[in-house]
Formats: sequence, C-alpha cells, structure tokens
Amino acid sequence: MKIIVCIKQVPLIGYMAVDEKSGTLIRSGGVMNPCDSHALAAALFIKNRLGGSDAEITALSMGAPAAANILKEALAIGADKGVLISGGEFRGSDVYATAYALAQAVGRLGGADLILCGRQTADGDTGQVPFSLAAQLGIPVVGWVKKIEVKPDGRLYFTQELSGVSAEVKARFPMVAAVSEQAAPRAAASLKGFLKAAESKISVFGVSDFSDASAEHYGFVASPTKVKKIRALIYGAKSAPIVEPPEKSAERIAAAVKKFL
Amino acid sequence: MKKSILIYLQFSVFGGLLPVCSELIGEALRLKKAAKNTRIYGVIIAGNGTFGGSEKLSEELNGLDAVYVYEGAEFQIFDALPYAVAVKACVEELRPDVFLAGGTPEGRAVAPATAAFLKTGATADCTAFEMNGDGELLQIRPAFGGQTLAEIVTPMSRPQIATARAGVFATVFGGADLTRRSEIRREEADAFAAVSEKTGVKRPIVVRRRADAVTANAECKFLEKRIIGGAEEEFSEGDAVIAVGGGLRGKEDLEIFRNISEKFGAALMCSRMITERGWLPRSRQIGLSGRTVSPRLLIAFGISGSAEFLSGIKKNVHIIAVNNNPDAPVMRIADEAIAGDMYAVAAALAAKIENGRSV
Repeated sequence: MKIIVCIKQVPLIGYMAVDEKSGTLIRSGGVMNPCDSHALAAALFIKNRLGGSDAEITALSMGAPAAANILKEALAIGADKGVLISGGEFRGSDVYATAYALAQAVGRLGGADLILCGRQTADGDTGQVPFSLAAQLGIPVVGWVKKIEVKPDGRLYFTQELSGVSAEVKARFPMVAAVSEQAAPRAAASLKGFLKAAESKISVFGVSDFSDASAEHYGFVASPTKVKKIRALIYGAKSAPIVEPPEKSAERIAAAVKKFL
Repeated sequence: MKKSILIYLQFSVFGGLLPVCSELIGEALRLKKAAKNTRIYGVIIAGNGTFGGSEKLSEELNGLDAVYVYEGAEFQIFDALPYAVAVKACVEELRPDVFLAGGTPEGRAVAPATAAFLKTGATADCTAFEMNGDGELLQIRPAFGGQTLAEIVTPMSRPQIATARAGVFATVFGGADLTRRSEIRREEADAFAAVSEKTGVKRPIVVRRRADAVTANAECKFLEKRIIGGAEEEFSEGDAVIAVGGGLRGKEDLEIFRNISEKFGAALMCSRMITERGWLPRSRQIGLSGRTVSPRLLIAFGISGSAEFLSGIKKNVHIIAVNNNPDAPVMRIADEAIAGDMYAVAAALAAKIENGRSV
C-alpha cells in the first residue's frame, strides 16, 4: 500500500509576522503543521496495523528549501521517503493552485492508495486543500476524520464528524483523508529515526518534473483567489497590567467569581 | 445583467434549517441591496424522500427566489465529492456569480471541492462580505492566525465561492446575536429588518432534480457509509470559564486548573495550543478554529491571546488574564490584567479554596 502524507511547514503560533506591504507571511523557518503531524501518525498507525513492510509512507511538502527540515523530521518519525515541491513558480499559491501542484506530485510519484492530510494548517487555516486535491484527482475524500479503524483482514474505516452526527465510510482506494487531532496521537522521532533521516536525501520536484510543466499553471498566476488587502487587527488596552502578590490575585479572582456567578 | 447568489442549504438532524444557512440568506439579502436585480437561489442535496417538499419549506427560506432540490439515493449520507458533483450541476444550470456555504463540516468540504471541479477559487471561513454592482464579491476573513483581516477577491473565474463562519452574520429574523457587532453592523442589521418586511411574504419556487445520474458511476464516491451516532456531546460553557494556554507546562498540570474550575463551578477550556498538544478536546477550545464563547466571566491562565483566540470571545465578557508577559496581547483586552506567574496564582487560589474561605 502506498501512502502519501501531505505536510506543511508553518510558523510557530504567535510568531507569525506579516509583511504589511505584500500581505504575505514572512516565512522564517517554522515547524511541521501540528495537524499534519497527526496525519503522519495516522499513516504510521495504518502501516503498523497492516503488518508494516507492505506499506510505504512518503511525506510530501511544498515550500521553501527550508521545508526540507520538516521532511527530515517526518523521516525521523517513521516516513520512508521525503519529497519537496519547491521553486519560485509555486510562490503565492492559493488553495486551488496548491492542490494542483500536490496532484501533479502525486502523479509524478506514480499515484497513491491513500493520501493523508491534516485537518487544516495553522497559518492558512482554510482546511480546504484536501477537498480540492481529491476533486482535482477525481477520487473520494473523507474529512474531519476523528477515528481510524483497521480490521484484522485489513479493511480500513474512517469516522468523520458531520453536523450533528458522525458517519463512517469504508476506504475506497485511491482516496484522500483529512484527519483531526484525535484520530491519532502524535508520534515522536526515535534516535534510530534521526540517524536514518540524517543519511536520507529529500527529493525535490520542480515544475519541469511534472507532466504539466507549464509554469503559468502554478503559483500566484494560477491562483483563482487573490489577496486584495491586508489589515492588521489592533486591540486597544483596557487596563494597565496589575503587579501584585499571588495571594492578592487569588482574592481578586475569587471576588470576580462571586460577582459574576 | 442579472446577478445571482446560490446558497448551500443544510438542515439539522433535528429538523430546521441550520442557523448558519439562515445567516447566509440574511447576508445575501443585504448584499442584494448593493447589487439590485440580484437573484438569490438555494440548493439542497437530499436523499430520496428526505426532503418533504414545498410544504416543508419553512418561512426561513422566504426571500429566496428559488430552491433547487437535488435528490438521489446516494445522498442519504454526506459524501463530499458526489455532493459537490450535484452542486456543480446546479451551478452549471444557474450560472450564479456567487456560491456561499456555511462553515459546517459539510459546507467546508463541498465549497472547495465544487471550486476545484469548476476551476475557480474558494475562500474559507469568511466573517464579512461586500458586493459591488458588477457582482464582484469581497471576501473578508481573518488570516495568519487571526492577526490580520484579509480581503480576498476572485477576479477572473466564476462563481466566487466562499464559506461563512457561523454566528457572525445576522439572519433576516434577527436571530443572530447583534450585540457583539460594531455600531456599523447594527445599522446594517436595521437595514435587514426593512428588507425582511418587504420580502417576508415571498415564497421561493421549488425546482426538483433527480440527481442519481450525475453520480451513478462516479469513482469519487464512497461505496459503503453509515451513520454511527450523534456527534460528540454538546458542551456548554456556562457563566464562567477558566481557560489555559501555552503557559501550561504539562498535561498533568491540567489537574490544577480542573480542580479550581470544579470548585468554582466554571468550565475548563483552552487555547489552540492545548488542543494541538492533544491535552483537551476541540469542543473545549476557544477561538477561530475552536468555538465562540459568551460566559459572563473568563479567566485566562497563560494564554498569550492571539487574535485566533480573541476572535472566539464575544463582547461583554469580563476577562481576567494571568500572564507573566505584561506585553501579551491578552493583557490589552483583559478587564483585569494580572502580570504574574500562572502557577503561583493558581497555587494561591487553590490554597484559598482549601481554606474554605472562598466563594
């Protein structure tokens, strides 16, 4: 079974800086998108439950060359291969263009049985890429997955959260699944994993590696949505910070509880 | 030329239109004021026999010009791509300028999938819209963790697709909470009332479409699916919330705050960092990617107060923040901003409760 896990490098929450002129994020390093680390854990869970050796996990990312770091991390955690889509042509991709590049990479990798994504990213926050990717590939997609079950005979089930109900689907390959945090607890890297990752090479795909090698089909120019304007949200200060002994603070809080409850 | 807006209509498992869909109808009627001659349509994707017919169309749908119902055995249980295939068929028939869906799990799946099928854009989780006379839609959403508001346009392709955050827009019936909107919003709400009086008697035309054919041999659908029960228990935050954030050093430390919240009869909630560490479920997360809360009192321990978090708190909540960083954004919005160590304050609070002198 071939599993591709889509992962993204995102800035640490609270450490995002925005270039007010261009309205884009100033990307200075970052971490593996938290939801994506759960998707990777889900891939490892499925691989283990299927008996291990048959399944191959490829971590796929798109980003600046520095995003190779999170692919190395994915290898250390247990992915078998790391692939980075990188190049100036991909800059400024919106949901559609991102999913298009991912779909091209999936094609270049010879397809996959299962493509796992995190529920959403911490920076873009749209949660839309998995659905766009599946629609562009024309394969089924299940989102908001909160439970993954592998039966002894290898049948795979996903439970998704919907409005007011939960529904379960039986996997139909090839397919895409977007998983929530509760689907699989994050997996940690092992020392052995780090050693393996250090020796592994990350493959880099550029536009010329894809079956659609036209640069105008990628990145900003191929993105149907455009950011017109960015406005910073400013909150005015209500009260000066209070510096007092903890006991005073405890009394303050208890008084507020008394007042409001 | 006539402009049109298509709205994805969803009904609750308990019956009735989902509130976010009523909000979208209200918003579409408001947008119509700027672009007169705009038609507003609804699309319903339903299993065979699950949509009762026009007599079931509640007055919540008044103001719509027509409702298109796509029915098929496949649609009994939600499946993102077949649903999007049906929506695509509807879009190809009506050629709307705008397609809006609620920010529900279904809406957030159908919108980007439909957009991908039609090679157009989709903007997620909008909190405001504006439309000009040419039918161009300004899609406004918080971006980059909520630190900024981004204005997004879809200049070249149609329809312009967006999902809307629930609870942000007012319904024509005034059902949404308007108190937390700015004064400008309040004026707009008054404008809705005028629209609703005018349109209140207008009943939409119902157009039924068999949609079995559109998905009959689709390779993009799941073959086996079933409902396996209700969603997670609805969690209600009540009048007081104690929320913890990134300052929490370990999962076991949650107990300190759980004890305090139990003693106070407050709900224990958290910021996104805590759910991402898997320490508390998402139903307890306050913020843009969590839920919006409106307790009377919120005590935030070790929460920096990213806009992500702050956008999940309604107005008129008394906020006490405890943070060792006096410059943290949360300190600016707090009514009482305690610059101190969350653990020291928690320990003092626990001691005070133990001594039985509190509350």
